Parts: sequence; structure tokens; C-alpha cells
Amino acid sequence: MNNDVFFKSVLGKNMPDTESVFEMCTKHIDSDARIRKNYNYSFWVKLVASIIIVFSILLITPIGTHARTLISHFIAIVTINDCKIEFDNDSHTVFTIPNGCSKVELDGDIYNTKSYTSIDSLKHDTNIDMLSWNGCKSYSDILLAVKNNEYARLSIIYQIFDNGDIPNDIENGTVTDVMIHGYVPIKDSVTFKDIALKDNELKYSTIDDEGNLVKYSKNEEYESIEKYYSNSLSTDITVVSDKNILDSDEVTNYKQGYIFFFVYDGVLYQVNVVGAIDNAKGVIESLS
Amino acid sequence: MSSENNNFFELVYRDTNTDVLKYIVAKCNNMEDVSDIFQDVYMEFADVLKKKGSQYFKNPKAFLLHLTKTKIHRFYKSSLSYIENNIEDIRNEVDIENINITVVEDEVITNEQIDKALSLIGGMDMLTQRILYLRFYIDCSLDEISNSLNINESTIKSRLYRALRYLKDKMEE
Repeated sequence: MNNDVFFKSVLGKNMPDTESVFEMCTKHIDSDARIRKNYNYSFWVKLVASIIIVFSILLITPIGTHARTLISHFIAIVTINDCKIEFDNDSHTVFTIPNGCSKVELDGDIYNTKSYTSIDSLKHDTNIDMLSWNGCKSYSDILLAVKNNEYARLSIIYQIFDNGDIPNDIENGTVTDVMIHGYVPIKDSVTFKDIALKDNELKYSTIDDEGNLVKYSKNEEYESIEKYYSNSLSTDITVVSDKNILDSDEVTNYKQGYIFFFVYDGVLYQVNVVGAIDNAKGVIESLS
Repeated sequence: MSSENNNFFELVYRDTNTDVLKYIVAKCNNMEDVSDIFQDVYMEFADVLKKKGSQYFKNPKAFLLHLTKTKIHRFYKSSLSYIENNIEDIRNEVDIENINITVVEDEVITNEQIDKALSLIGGMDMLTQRILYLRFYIDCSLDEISNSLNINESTIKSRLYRALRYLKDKMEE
């Protein structure tokens, strides 16, 4: 059998039926009601299973650690490509490594992780009065990850839209993604390796629908674009743009990515926002 | 208005669906996702067309390709394409200029053979799968595949050779 005929028969099993998609779309254009999309099961499994930060769900080995309270202060250096930005923390931070963390090993690093259902429980468990955003009350994840017993990362990942699916008719500049990460040192001298951003070197992992760890790399480009003083937080804020998200803005004009770095109350914050710069700054000003 | 929109949609769809499919195959992380992403792209396009009308689209093809990129981005939750870097070139091992392997000699293919071949292909690395789909399903030339995947033609040929040889061996077992 000719290879072309053979492969058309075989590979066609995974390919869309273009005529039925065409018919479905034209019916949709004709109809008043919105047609429910005919996804297969794997789509939803992937949506549920895929998350940005690997240690949020790699709860492999529960360990019976006892809560430990530590007091620290730090000078943090965030590196954007080759540009170093220094952040001073002039107050002492009281942090508790809580009970009930789970231990995860990834690329030689040890993480003690814990997932929470509310910001209050995260604050209570860690003794950190973490800043949060009042613009959304729905969360994808609230997480703690203590890396190598060197520093802790507290993360709040907001789910602004139902099922994480962004509507196509949102207003330009509307904020579509917000993630807040708070970094707290555990040792006196520590480097926050996770927040050294470098062009084209972003690597992260997700879990596939069979529970396997899948690693990805992504070509992001970063540029420090602005430093300003926040009146509401009374601290200097450095703004970094994610140039690739900006580049994808040509047509629909709603995806613009910014990363804000600042120190507040003894915690180094990294806040990722996708939206127009004024809206993104609005998120920062409304943190409390 | 809907008749005008349908005519516009048909024109755009006929003009773009192969390119959209090619882009998804080149960028997806799993070939089983292609149908969902493809459908999602055109349903959203139809949705925007219905709400805004055809005048909204200054460059429908650019809009669709951007929409496809965005859909893949959302589908994988911030994961755009990942192409393996461990590409090996086997030019020195085989005569890759003359790939002449017929995977199945029978004139008729059974459902069992289709399922077996699909399973074997699904077990291959993503780069080889992309090459097979682009070459044999979308009928891309080696040059088009090279541009879509940003790899050189000799790599494509070596991957094709190995894939065909592997499939032929396994299908005969």
C-alpha cells in the first residue's frame, strides 16, 4: 500500500473532521444560542491536571515535621538577565514551617510543600500576614513550598474566569491572570534562585493526565521597564515586562504581562499580572 | 446578516484551515489534542464573527493564527511548543536521500492495523510525530516542515527514515 494512503487512514484518526467543524461553526453563526463545544474527555482532564507550579500537586511523601518558627532578615538580589536589583528588608520576619508538609525532590532540590484552601489558613499556619488581592475571591491554588530549608515561597494563584477560560469579548486591558508569590528566607544568607529571570531560560513542569511529570522550557524575554513608589504599600516597586506576551498583543490587544517586585513587611513579593499596565498597577495598589 | 457572515466564514475557513492545522500540529504537546484545539479556534472565530460582523476583521488569517497561538497557550496553561533538543542526525548511518520504504505491503488495511500503527506512532517522540503528520497528513514538503519546526531538512529525512523503518518492522511482527 502506498504510504500516503496508509498514513492518511492512520493519522486521520487523530485529526479534526474539518467538514463537521465547518458545519458546526456555520450553525453557530446562524443560531441565537451558543453551541456547547464538543470537547473530548482529554481536554478537560488536561485543563484540570495542568498547573504552572509543579510542587503544588506533587504531594508524594507526607512527612511528620514539627512546626518550627524562625526569625530572619535579608537583602535580596533579583536578577533580570544581567541586571541586578537589590531589595533591603529592614525588619525581622517571623516565619513558621508548619506541620503536615509533604516532601518532594525535583532536580536535586528538596521541597516541603503544603496546599491550602484559604488565605487565612496559609497566614495562620506560617505566621506570615501575606498580601492578597481583593479583586477576586476564587483561587486556582494557595501553596507553600519550602525549598532546601533555605527559603519559603508562599503563592496565591487567582482564578479570575470560570474554568480558567478567558472570554473572547473582554475589554482591552482587562486583567486576566494574577499570581502573588511571597519569598521568606529561612537561613541568614540565602539567594532566591527562583527569581533570577533570564531570557529564553524559563523552565517549568506540569503533570500530565497520567500523573507523569512533564518538563517544558519556554522562550520568555524580560525587560525591567519602570521603578515607582507605591503610596498604598509605601515601598519602591520594580516593574518587569514579559516581552513575549507583549509581542502577542498585535490582534486582540488584551494580553500584556508584567511582573512586580517589592519588599513589604519583611517579605519579598513577586506579583505576576496579565493585563494593561494601568490595570496591573491597580492590582498592586489594591493589595492588602 | 448571518448569510453574509456564513459566506465570509466559508471563504476564511477554506483559505486558512490547512495552515491552522499545520500550526497546531507543529506546536501541540499531544496529537490527541489537535482536534479539540482546532475546533476551539474556529468556534471562537465564529463567535467573534457573529458578535462583531465581518467588518471587524482587517486580516482574518492573521487573526486566526494569533487566535490559534493563544488557544494553544491556554490549552497547555502557559506552555507553548516544546521541541526536543536531543535531535540526532543519522546521515552517516543510512542513505537518507533515498527513503523508499513501504510500511504496509498489503493493498487493503484493516482496522486492527490502523489501531496498531496509531499506537506505534503515538509512542514515538513528539518531533517525529509532528514530522509524520505534517508530511503524510497535511502533505507538507520537506521545506515547509523545516520552516514550521525550525529544523534542518536532513534531520527531517533521518527522522522519517527511522520512523518508516521502525513502523515497517513492527507492522510485520
